[in-house]
Amino acid sequence: MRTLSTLLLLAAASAAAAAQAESPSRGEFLAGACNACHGAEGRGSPPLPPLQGRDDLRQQLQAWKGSDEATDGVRGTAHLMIRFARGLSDADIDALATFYARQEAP
Amino acid sequence: MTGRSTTLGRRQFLAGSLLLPMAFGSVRASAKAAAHVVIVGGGFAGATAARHLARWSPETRISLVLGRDRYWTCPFSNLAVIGERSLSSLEVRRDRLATDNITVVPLAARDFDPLRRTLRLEDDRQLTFDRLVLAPGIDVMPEAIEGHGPDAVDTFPHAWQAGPATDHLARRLRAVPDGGLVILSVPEGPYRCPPGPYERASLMAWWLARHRPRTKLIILDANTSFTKDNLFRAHWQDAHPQRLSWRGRDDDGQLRRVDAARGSVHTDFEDYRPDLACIIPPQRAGAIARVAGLDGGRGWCSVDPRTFASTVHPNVHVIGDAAIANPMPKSAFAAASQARICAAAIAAEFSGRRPPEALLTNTCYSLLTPETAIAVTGSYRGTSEGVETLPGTAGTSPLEAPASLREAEAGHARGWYASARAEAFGE
Ligand SMILES: Cc1cc2nc3c(=O)[nH]c(=O)nc-3n(C[C@H](O)[C@H](O)[C@H](O)COP(=O)(O)OP(=O)(O)OC[C@H]3O[C@@H](n4cnc5c(N)ncnc54)[C@H](O)[C@@H]3O)c2cc1C
Ligand code: HEC
Repeated sequence: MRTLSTLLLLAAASAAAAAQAESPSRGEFLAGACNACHGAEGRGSPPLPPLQGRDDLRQQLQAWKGSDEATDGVRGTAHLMIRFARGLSDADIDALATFYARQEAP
Repeated sequence: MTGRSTTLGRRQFLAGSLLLPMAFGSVRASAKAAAHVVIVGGGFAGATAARHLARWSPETRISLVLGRDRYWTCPFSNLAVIGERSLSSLEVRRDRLATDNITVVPLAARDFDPLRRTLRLEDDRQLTFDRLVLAPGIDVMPEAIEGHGPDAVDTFPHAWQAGPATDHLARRLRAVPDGGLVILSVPEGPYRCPPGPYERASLMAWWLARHRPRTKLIILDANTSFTKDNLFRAHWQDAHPQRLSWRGRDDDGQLRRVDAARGSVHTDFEDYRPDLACIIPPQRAGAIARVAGLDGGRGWCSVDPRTFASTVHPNVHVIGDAAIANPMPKSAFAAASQARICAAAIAAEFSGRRPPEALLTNTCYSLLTPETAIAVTGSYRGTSEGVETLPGTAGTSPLEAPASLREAEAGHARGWYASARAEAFGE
């Protein structure tokens, strides 16, 4: 009986931990910083485009991260996105890209 | 769920989780389903924190103490000052904030006891909390200026807390005669919205150019430089070379005294008799964040930026304008970013996890005219030493840019504003 209840406790604890570990996931947490402009749930906030369901974010963010501000920044409105991308680690970029790709496109 | 737990039946699983509270101290708060977080202030910081915490820690009970005042957003209120936006379009109705786990308390908080973990409301009722989050914004201190005080605010309107005061300032501006003088005085930092005074000056100058073309605008600034100053100055030079002048602290820009009866404004070397003096007073954290030594006597609250827990009382968090988070500015954007960190950290702690790595962000758009804007941005990391700017992330819109870029950024500013209201208030 004692072993059974210990087992139950352990199982429940790890189940609870597994459920909790996802709240918020790294991707969801970081997406807050994007949705601040791109709209609730990344649905878009005109004229800022939606991010939900995009499957190219990893390439896009990596391209911005590697770009040279002196040329790209002056050319257009991407100066903000270039700077945001530079603040993201590769792991964070992957987490964000995975998070949005799993959502349905609006 | 792990393989082991799926072998258990649902009833057994529930029985197991009921035993949890006694067995595991660290997960107690989440398992007992009754952790209570009290949030004071329902502006950008407090409302954003409440909504994210409700989502990320669904078992936590949240009381959101709003006070009785209505709420108008400061962002975009400078447009209302020049009549290009209505005050009512800035008002947020906060009825959508109440949900199954968020109880809205439409009363002001009076004080709290961090050791007994109680918060007293204005009607003397008490709330007991596991965590307290303070997001009261700012208090203004007109009395810090010689000759000024709360009674003279209508004479020297600031509207640095948007609302009916914004309309009052708009009326005062319309009453300025052509050929008159407008003064805008900027306090020494830190204050709410570092680019806000210069956005207001730009928009006022835009309005004067159309309606009072011979009226002059002088900015008296207690600082020697300001955010995006090269961009603002280039615009002023281009659009208002004769109309608008900026005097910094090194150029007799420091306000020394006002005379409310005469409406006069005095620096070390000049006495001005303006038709309108918009005097933005020095500021400090809202009163509730200065209880129990939380501000260390400095007016603003020192926090650990990895969680936004107070460095004085760790079970009290301070977010938004009331917190010290420089180099992050006191902005609605920054307030929301801090609210996300704070909510995620509390959710993590209640379930026995470590708080997430604290990535913080800010972008402040400023309007140069109703249809053109510039931006400043930065990303930051919260560390045990404070807030650190991440390399390569801080910068502004380009200095040389076609009108189309400035127009595009005004559109982006409107897009951000709608998103910020949606995130904070569920609009
Ligand atoms: C002219 C102007 C333009 C601005 N433009 C921008 C912009 O474009 N972008 C940007 O990001 N930021 C902008 N800001 C800055 C922005 O308004 C603030 O940084 C933001 O409001 C801070 O949010 P907060 O939640 O800390 O404070 P607030 O928004 O002030 O909210 C605090 C709330 O708490 C309430 N409260 C206080 N004490 C108590 C109590 N004891 N009990 C209950 N409730 C209480 C207050 O009544 C208030 O409703 C601007 C500011 C100004 C003045
Ligand atoms: C301060 C506001 C702001 C924030 C925050 C922000 N963005 Fe953007 N984003 C923009 C602007 C402005 C553009 C350019 C829109 C244009 O030029 O039309 C843009 C464009 C984009 C685009 C390109 C869309 C396209 O198809 O051209 C992507 C993808 C994107 N952002 C992703 C993100 C991600 C991911 C984040 C979070 C890390 C983020 N954004 C955060 C403002 C923002």
